[in-house]
Amino acid sequence: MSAAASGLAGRWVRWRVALRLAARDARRHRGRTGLVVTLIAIPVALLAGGATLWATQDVSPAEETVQRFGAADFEVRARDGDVALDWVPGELPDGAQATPLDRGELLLAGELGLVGAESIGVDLGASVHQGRLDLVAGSAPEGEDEVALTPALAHDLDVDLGDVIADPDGEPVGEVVGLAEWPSALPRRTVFAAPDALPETTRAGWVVTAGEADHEAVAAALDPTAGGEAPRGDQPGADTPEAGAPDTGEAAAGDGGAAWRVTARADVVPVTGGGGLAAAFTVVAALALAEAALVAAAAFAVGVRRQLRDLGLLAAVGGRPGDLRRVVLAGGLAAGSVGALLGAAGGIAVVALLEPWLESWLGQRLPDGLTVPVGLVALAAVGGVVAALAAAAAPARTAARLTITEALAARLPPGAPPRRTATAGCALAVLGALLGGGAAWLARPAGGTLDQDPALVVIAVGAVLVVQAAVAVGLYNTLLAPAWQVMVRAICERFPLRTAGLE
Amino acid sequence: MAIRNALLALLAEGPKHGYQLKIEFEAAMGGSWPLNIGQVYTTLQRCARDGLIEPTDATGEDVRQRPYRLTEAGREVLHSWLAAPVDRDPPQRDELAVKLLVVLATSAADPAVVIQAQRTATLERLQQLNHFARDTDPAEDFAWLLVVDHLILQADAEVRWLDLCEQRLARAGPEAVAAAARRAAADVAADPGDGGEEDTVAAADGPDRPQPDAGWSR
Amino acid sequence: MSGAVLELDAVRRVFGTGRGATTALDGVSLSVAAGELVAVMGPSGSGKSTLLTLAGGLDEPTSGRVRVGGADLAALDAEALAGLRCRTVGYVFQDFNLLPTLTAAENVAVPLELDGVGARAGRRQAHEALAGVGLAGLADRFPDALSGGEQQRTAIARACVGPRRLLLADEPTGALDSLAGEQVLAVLRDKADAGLAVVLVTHEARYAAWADRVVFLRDGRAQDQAGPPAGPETLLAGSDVTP
Repeated sequence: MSAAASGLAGRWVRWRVALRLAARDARRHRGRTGLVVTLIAIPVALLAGGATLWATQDVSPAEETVQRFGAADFEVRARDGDVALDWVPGELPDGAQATPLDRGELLLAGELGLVGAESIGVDLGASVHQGRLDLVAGSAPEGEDEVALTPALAHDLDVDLGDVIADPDGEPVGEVVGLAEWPSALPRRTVFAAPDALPETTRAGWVVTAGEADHEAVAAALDPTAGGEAPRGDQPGADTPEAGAPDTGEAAAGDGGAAWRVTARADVVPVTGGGGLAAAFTVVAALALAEAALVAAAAFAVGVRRQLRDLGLLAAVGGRPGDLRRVVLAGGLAAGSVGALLGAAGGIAVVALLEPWLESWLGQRLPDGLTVPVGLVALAAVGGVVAALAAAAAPARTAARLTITEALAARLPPGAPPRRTATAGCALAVLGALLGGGAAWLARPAGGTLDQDPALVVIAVGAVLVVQAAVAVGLYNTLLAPAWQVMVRAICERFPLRTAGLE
Repeated sequence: MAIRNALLALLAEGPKHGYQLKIEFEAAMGGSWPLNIGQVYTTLQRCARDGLIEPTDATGEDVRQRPYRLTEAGREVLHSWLAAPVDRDPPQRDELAVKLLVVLATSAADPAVVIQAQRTATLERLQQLNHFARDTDPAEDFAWLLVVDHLILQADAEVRWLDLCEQRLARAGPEAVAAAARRAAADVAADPGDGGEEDTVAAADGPDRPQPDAGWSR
Repeated sequence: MSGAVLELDAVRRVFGTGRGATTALDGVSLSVAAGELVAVMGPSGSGKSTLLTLAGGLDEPTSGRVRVGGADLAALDAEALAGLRCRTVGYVFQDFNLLPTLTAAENVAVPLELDGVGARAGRRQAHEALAGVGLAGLADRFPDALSGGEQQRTAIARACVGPRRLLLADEPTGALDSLAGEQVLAVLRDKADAGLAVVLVTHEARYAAWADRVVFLRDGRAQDQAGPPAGPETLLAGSDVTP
């Protein structure tokens, strides 16, 4: 062998020959290539689109906190949701401020009948609420005759700025001077008014900003004074959860009476979608791509049959078995790359097109806009290429084993005993199904949260590899190939091939 | 016959005398057929006797010096020769065919050996002819090239025929052929029937030897 | 013997086993030196194509030895055999010689590229090779835009490119008319005169006539040999030629 033929440079040249042959062959057989590209592109598009959709709707922890707290540092509310809070803030350190929040319920008369809504007494103009409650039109209501509505409620009542809303008896409730929305809950039907302006509202809570005061001091001020006694009734100082406990944790049970709890902004641990979702994602990805690889494998097998004479000729002029294998693999690489790129771009594009409607569908403001999870999309694209390569692997092995005289006569060599491949393939498929099922089961939501667990990711990745290996070993050959190939051939023959014109 | 018709064609261009005709004929044949001047004069005399040509002036000169020209009758004969395709019937007898057939009928020798020997010889001849053809410049010696091509393809045809004989023999078996020939001879001996056909057999010495005009079947 | 590029030594090739076995070649010995053009003739089934596939390393003999450039083919593994086909032995088939998806120049350059030669050098050598067979302007055409004769000549160019020493042609004129066939033979003759060893399988005597030697095969055995002829004397000295 010449010096030029070995080594990296030689290898690159041989890959280039293989790629050129594969690309030209792909152009000649547009039907078959298009089939493989589509088979790879569709799952990759679904995966990339799904990942993008998930990432886009996933509000960042910081944003979530803002949507929950606004600009406040603490929130005080009754421990049992609807009960009125019988508590007023005592002495707060200088610089700290407390703002009240009232809540009630209303019935309103709309064009199409009665509409129930909640009523919130709040100073919409106060900056402390920004992010949690945003004025989007008009001005904040002041006094007893002015109200603001959420756009959803305004739409239900079919009213606009300047209109007056009334209760079922016809008594006016107030003039709509503004529209305000809850960014975290756009569909909420709420009537806003100045605190104490609306009848039949009760104090729901207080929001407290520390301002220039020390957080610890403010927290201590909000805490009940030490005493060890459980406060009763409407006394201040009922249980406060320990600093650091999650919002949804149970507060220490007090016995009887209204109690309040204080939630500090700094203590809220945001919910993370985390590794469980990623694990589920990879399992779904593996299954979808495996399906694609199975059908694509049949397409590559048909391709090798068509290419037999070309491969024989290539061998006759000096092609080594590795070169023949490379030609088939290059076809997989090319089709897989194109399919993966198209799929990824297409999936993302679809989500981008749908983005304007996402917020209303989800009922939540998405301050970050379209978020593309580059890692997951890249993973999907790489998975697509790997699937194509796996699909091409078995036909590539067949190509490498061709004898020249048989190939030139367009005869395939006898393959490996079918029973052995079938058994191996079945075993691997079962193993893959077990791993995939186990991963999916472990990733199920446990008590409402999904935890990040490295073990899950490992299991899921293992499932991917095993399923792809099953395809590569040739499970398709014995179980699915006959049916798939009939279908593939039917598709390919709809596209006329250029005849090899030897005169 | 071929020479006579060729001379008529040459005379169609205009009156010429014998020596000129010889030169022009040899040039047209590309040098593959040198003519004896005596042959030319003999042919011309015969043509004149048949009324196909006539001397241009009747001065009592030596016949060799007189230019001849074509008569109307001569022109007609020439045109009908040119218009009609060359007739190959009845076919020439081929010495090789005779040899092979006799061998098959009498088992006097092994037909395979005869075939192979002839084939080898013809191939060697072909190799020589090939050298000639390769050395010939088509621009300068076009006529000669055509002649050599003709010889080559004839030799090629002979080899092909030998191949075919071999294949047919392999299928039929030489004993069967000999038996068939003996049966046919026995039939004729038993029933003479019509006396032998009147073949006009050309005195064929072999395809590559000189063929005087007189020996032709037509 | 030492100068021989191709040596076949009592080569036998049997296909199949047991009762259905057919003997394609039955003890054939042949030796071809550099600069020699040897024609192999014979009826179909005589083993001529098998002889060529064995000589080119496309197939293995059942017994006997095949030596190319002194190297015993049986001692070479698959990689080395491929290298042999890449650099030492060129093969021309009767039809389907060219990859239909590559241009003529790309086809000619394939063995060079498989050998690791870079793209530009390969293309240059390919153009030179095509010019050497008289196809200079057709380098960028695809095979279906070439006539049969042009395709065969391209195949010959590819079979000679690089440091090749042996050219094997299996009925290259099979699908061609007389003039195109003649051109192909002229190219083969040129290559032989330039130093290659050429083995030509044909059933047409007029093409075999181009060779220095003609070997006859029948039933897998070499029967006879014609030539080399004594030399081109004046064929027609003193005799008239039949019109």
